[in-house]
Amino acid sequence: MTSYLGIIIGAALVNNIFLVQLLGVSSLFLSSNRLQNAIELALLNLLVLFLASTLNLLLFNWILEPLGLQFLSIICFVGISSSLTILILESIKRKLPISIRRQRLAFYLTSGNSAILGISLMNSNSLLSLPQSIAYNFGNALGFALMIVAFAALRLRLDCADIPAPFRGAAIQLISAGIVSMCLLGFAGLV
Amino acid sequence: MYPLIETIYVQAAIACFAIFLLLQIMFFLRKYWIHSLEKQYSIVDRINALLPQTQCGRCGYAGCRPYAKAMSLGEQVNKCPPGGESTIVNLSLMLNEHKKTLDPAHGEFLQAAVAVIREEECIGCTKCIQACPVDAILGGTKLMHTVIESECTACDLCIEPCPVDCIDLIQLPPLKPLWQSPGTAERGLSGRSFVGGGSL
Amino acid sequence: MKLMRKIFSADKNVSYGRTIPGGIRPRAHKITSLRSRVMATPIPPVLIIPLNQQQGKASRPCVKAGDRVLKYQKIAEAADDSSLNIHAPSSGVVSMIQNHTTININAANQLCIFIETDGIDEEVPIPDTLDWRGMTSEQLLPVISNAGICGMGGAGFPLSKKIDSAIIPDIHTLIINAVECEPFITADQALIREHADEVIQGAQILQHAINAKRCLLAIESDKTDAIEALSNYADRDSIKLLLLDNKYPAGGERQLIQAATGKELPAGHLPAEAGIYVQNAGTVFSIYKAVVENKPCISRVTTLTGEALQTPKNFNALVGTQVSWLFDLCGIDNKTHSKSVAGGSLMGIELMDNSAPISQSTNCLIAGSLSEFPDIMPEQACIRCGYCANACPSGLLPQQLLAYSRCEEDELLAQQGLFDCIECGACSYVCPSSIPLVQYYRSSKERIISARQKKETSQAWQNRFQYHQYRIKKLKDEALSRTSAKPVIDKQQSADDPFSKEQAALEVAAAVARVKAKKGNVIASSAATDGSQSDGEPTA
Repeated sequence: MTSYLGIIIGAALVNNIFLVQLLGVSSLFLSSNRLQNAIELALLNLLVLFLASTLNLLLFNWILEPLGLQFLSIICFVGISSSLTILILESIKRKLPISIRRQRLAFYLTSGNSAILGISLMNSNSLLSLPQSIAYNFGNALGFALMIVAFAALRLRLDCADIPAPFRGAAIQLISAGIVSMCLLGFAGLV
Repeated sequence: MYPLIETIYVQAAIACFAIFLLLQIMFFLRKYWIHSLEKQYSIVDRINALLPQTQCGRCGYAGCRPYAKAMSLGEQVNKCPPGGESTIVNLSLMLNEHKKTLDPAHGEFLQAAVAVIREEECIGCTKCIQACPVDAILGGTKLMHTVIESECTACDLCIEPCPVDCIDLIQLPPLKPLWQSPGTAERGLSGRSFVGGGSL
Repeated sequence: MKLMRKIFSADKNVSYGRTIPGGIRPRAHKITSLRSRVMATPIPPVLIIPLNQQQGKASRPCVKAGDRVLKYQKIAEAADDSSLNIHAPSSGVVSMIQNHTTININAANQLCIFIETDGIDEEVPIPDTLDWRGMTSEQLLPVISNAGICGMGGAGFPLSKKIDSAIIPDIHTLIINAVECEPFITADQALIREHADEVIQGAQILQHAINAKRCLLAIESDKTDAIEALSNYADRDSIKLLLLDNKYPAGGERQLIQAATGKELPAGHLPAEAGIYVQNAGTVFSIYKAVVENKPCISRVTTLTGEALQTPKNFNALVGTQVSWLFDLCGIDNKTHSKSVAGGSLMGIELMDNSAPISQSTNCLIAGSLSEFPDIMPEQACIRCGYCANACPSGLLPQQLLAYSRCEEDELLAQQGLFDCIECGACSYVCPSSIPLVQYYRSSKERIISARQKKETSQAWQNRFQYHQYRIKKLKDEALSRTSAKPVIDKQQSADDPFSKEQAALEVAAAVARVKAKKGNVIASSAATDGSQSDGEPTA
């Protein structure tokens, strides 16, 4: 049990998929700066990331590897994540404003997210057993969702702050992302 | 991994903490659950709450709610003149759009106004009563019509049907402008750095 | 330190207030106006009495131009319980009733009664003094409201309305506010050190009227002359002195309640709901005069101070005296006079027109020079030093409030407690970048309040619109049921034969009408409205 807790915390905080491993950054910068929208987007991403990477893991372990088709892994991963994203987006259409207005954008972001691909590839290379890999996926998804919400809150403050003209917009967000990832280095010895 | 955590006490403590966290998350999400049971939580209702409810049709839709529904399906946010700048800003924030200026095809920003019937010329045809979307006109057939000033939304829909053209739209006196700090104005700080649509 | 004072203080009737958060200690500028006693002014040639001296409705004049009035005669009637009865401060002739600039921020240019005084100061015959101890609050209230007293601390709320609303809830503490923390103002201190007896009697009358269990008189601990005067006259059983630390917004109502009881009053709630009643010392003095001497309120102690005046002092000035006349009385030096302020230096308002008359709530007039009121520095960027948060007496974060005010984030402003801000000016005073913080908060409050009103109106319109749709639907259904009912009247014969075609057709039509009525008569809920109107398709 403790090893699962360690895996989840390690994946969520210590090796945070967004700020430490630097995957999936585009999805973060194009998300909303309204906290409620960001929470909805975070939940969506959590779901998609977890389910997609788990499905990819199962696909790799049970279908591709026994048949010796590892070279097809990337294409299959992308295909599965896209179709899963569409399925989930269609089913929660009514509730989330972001998914309706920017449906196409959300689709590209969530399905073509390098985070999903990265996690899936790491799963295919790792030595963890199946339940441990699922825990690892969940931890990564959790860390990603956490960062989306944290960044929306940060963006809310940046929006209202007195920023010099050359830094407004993307520049100050990238700078803050850099500073926050340095802060996350503080988790280094946790697990 | 850590021998201390293997003991039953620490595991029990961690389990309690986990349950506590779970309860916190459940309470947090309970807000969404309760709201989803009320009518307000549907996305169209949430967008509708930001519109000024004048039911004027200047956006091209028959009322504010149809426009809200269209916006939830992808319609532009800059079509509401009575709402003013603040409505466009609020809508773009909620729907994650970049800030736009008002679409000139749908009119200009309006001052507050009310419709007033010139009673000497009114013939009592009830055409304006049928046109008013909020039933703000009192009257009956061949009887005097008058506009209830507090209920009139200045939507303009009564002016066309009137056969003797006796309805005027009177502008209400404008409110005094809010104080603008001279320092803010000259440094261009009023408003936010960017509205909606993320940063890129 | 406080504990030591408590243990070793000889006087058991003196208690020390708790500290309030934040606050500033600006230079007091009080010594010059306290050098002499309170003097009555000579009668000015013209008295301009505003009809709206307080927050509320203007009073209605009951004299007209050309009438001769005597001192203490009623010249304006209260329009409702938020306005005052106004009495003539001196005898003379009403010359006109016209608009004039006044010091009231809600009604800067309002109707005033102009009285040309004749110098005789003839009084209306005054009835005998009352025995207030035998009277109940219901009997005291008309006496107080006839006297036309309003709060004299600067806010100016009509007193009879305040007492009236305080009779019903259980008031356990009456606090007399003699704190006077703002720089330049010394009116209450000068009044108390000379008329401590009357102030205490007035406090007892007020305590009797609102039936409070205990009475505290709050005063700053460095006003030693006033404290001595009070100690000589204080009735040991009724009034306790509460000594407060010499900090700026200690005299604000909420801060006073916090210092006296340790409890914070949330925004939007009245002190009466917490069982506390706060009243200014000057008002209490007028209550004494109204009840014991039967004289309505026509004058008040006003501080005339500032570097441009030769003899700054406290005057017992008549309501309606012009500011310029009072400045001339003290000998004003026009070369050094750069700014006139009504009120203190932190919360006062700048007077553009010195011909304005003083009203009942004007406690101080400052003829300031450039060294006392230097030019406004240009606003610079916020350097996030945090001095403002240290200074705020309400415990808010002025830095965040400024950022949200600029971006017009109304939700976050309300969440950060914008409506708890008392607009005391302590944050703007300490700001090193000279940012006019209080102005930002005031305009944000106005904007939020007007947005809320707009939302209420929108909601009302939306409800009306939904009812309109329901009504139209009902009419349509009634029309439908009427048309489907017509064939029954024509074909009476087929009613006998239950299996005829006409009967079947009738039954089908009736069923269709019933279903339509049931579907349509649901109150316009979101789903129903969507289905029934032609929405989603743009009409021309």
